[in-house]
Amino acid sequence: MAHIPICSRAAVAAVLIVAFAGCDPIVSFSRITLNTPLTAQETDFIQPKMTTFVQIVEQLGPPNELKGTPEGAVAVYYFLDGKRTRVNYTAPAHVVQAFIPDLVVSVWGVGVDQLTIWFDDRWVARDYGFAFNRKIGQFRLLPTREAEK
Amino acid sequence: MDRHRMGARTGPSDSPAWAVAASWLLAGLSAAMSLTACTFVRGGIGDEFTTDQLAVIQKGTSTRADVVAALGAPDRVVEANGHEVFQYYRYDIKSTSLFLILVNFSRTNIKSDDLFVFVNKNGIVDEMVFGKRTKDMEFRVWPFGD
Repeated sequence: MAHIPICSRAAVAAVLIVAFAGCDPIVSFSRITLNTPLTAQETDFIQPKMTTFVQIVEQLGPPNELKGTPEGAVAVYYFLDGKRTRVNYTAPAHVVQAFIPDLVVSVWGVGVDQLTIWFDDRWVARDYGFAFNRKIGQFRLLPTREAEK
Repeated sequence: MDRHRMGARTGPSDSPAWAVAASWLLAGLSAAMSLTACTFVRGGIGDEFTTDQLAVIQKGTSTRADVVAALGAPDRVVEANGHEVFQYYRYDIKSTSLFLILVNFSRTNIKSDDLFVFVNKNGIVDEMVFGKRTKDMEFRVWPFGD
């Protein structure tokens, strides 16, 4: 078998890399997050009919939204986690034939967590609860695959 | 004929020094070219709250007019528990992308600073809460994990 000099191999690698450089990447992973998620442990200190709005803000920071209700007020903390996977399944074939059509598959999902705290008319917590919808925000290579529960 | 004296090679181990140097140079160039692009993007919505602005607002003494003079009109006004609640917010956005030959990674982080001022029926500030979530936000490129 003929020996290929090391510098020639590097040159071939460089040429291939330059040839690929103008091409669409095969896989892209993108993520966007809004604020830092709170966990159930971080809200354990909230005692209904005891913990005040100021005490909650001292621990968790101010809410993202505050609304008035007939019974008092509602504070809402939002956390968003969006993930997108994009795969061009024919990108590798562009090395041998530049005019092969792209076969691009993109899967994205935005999960939103929400902590809602209800207050009475004296700004004392009445109740609180989480809404977890972050499972939908997952990296997936195929759109036919459901998000893992 | 002395093959070594003429620079001919029989294997990698007896490559002349210039060939080894050239191969390393090409390998370095290849590695550099495999990192085709990297971007850093910074964005924001609203002005940052300054300590001078916040110092103006004093519980029990500052009026609605003082608050508006210091911070401008609120982004949102809410009626709750007999208080007029002024909400001011700003968002900070940091985004990093790494474009490689075969794979791209991109991550965008957004965090908010929120200020709530509670004004009572007499137009006096009863309470003020402020949170600066943006202070520890970093540029991150790795989209996986937390």
